[in-house]
Amino acid sequence: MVCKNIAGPNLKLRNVHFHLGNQILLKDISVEFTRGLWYGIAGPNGGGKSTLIKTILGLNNHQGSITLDWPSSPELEGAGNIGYIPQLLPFDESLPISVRDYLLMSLSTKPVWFKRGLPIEVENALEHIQLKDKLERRIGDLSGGERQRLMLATALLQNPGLLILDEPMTGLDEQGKKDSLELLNRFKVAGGTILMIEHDWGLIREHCNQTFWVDKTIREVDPSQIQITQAPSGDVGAVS
Amino acid sequence: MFDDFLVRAVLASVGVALAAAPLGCFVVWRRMAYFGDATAHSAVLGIALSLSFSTPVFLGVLIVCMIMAITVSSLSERGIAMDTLLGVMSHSALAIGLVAVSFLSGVRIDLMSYLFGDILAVGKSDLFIIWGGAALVLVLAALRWNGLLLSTLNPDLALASGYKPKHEQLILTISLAIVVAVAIKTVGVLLIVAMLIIPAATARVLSSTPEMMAIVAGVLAISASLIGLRGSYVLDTPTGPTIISVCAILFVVVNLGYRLLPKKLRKGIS
Repeated sequence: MVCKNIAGPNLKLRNVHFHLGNQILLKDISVEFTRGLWYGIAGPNGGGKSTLIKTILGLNNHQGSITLDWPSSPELEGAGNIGYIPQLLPFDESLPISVRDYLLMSLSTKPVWFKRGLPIEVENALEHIQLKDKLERRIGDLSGGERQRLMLATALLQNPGLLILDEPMTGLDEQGKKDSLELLNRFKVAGGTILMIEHDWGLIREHCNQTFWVDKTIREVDPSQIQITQAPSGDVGAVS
Repeated sequence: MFDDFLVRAVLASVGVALAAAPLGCFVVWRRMAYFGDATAHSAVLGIALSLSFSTPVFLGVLIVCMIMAITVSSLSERGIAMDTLLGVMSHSALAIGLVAVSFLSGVRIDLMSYLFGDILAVGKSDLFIIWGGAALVLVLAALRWNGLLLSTLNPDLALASGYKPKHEQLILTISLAIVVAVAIKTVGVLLIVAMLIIPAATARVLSSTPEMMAIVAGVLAISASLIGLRGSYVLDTPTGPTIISVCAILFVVVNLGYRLLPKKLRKGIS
């Protein structure tokens, strides 16, 4: 599912500013992300973490500049591709879209009207994430953990150089977390760049090379210096 | 053959049913019924403007519906509550349209035929417009099928798969405006949304995949149109409302039948 040599990009944000009506959501964001590294993005609820990654994905009409610098070596794969895992959101269970439909539609630009076979690498990936027997299940009926595993597999099957993840571990059990983190580590080691919004400081400490705190503005934080004020839910209330 | 008004009526109703049914599935899935209603209501303003500028009604309606739909979409993105916005826009457009129609001096128009359709008055040029519009909507839906479905499931998910949900929304909006413009002659401004929604909602319990739902909705819409036409001929009732009444009866019968089925046999999706 993960290539050996990945064309992860360098990302440069300069004075990025975004507002909706009178409300300023992002203010003067200047930051650089380097290829082959895993970045953690933390911050309070409503602080603009998701807005920041959607801005990087080109969905918000922002001010300032965002540059993605992709390596051009022919041995590297995934240049120009961005994989994105959105925050876990509920799906309408009445929508008649199965896991197979979803995969076919996600991985092919040709219209998928009726059921067709899946490519062998997709079948293997599904086996790897233990979803092969749930191909005909409606996507709205999957559990939170199953959905996140499917999202990660789909993102990786799109052969990305950059992965943008919004709380990818939500809903996953311990084994699911372990498997997902192992895949992400392989992606990073192969040269991919990862930006990950995460609330779990333990996970950030263990896996991220660098961490940023986003609360309208951005600043680098040292995860080992974080004080956890709301331990039970894992939410971080303050930074010391 | 096209000289017979009944043949033209059959062809017109089949054309509208073909375009409305698959689009109606998206309206049902995306819960856009009120959005469709607002777009359809604004058609009255389009009719008034076309008549006062002596342009084809189809064109005026298409342009006003598109402006309406795009305005609503862009205002809702700015954080204004969608239902309030639609309530304001929908009824304002209808009221302003009706006022504008009353200003037209020297033009005698049969308002009822625009509000409830006048399928028996469909001419050859209307047929051309209806089938052209229907073909365009079907081709758009078929070519953009993946993106439309994924962004219906979840806009962020569509994005994750490389589609642009805003583009897909725009395609739906344009298709909706086209269907409203071509359906005015057959079912009229006030009943267009019923033609979109009722066959799709009926098909929902009979289908297990999105493609199947679009096809079943199409078959139901065509059947209801033909039965409605025949019914209105026999009973001497207004055609548009008769077609929608048949759609409603089918909806009740299918849903009741489905509920009465043993659980094992309910392979549908409702």
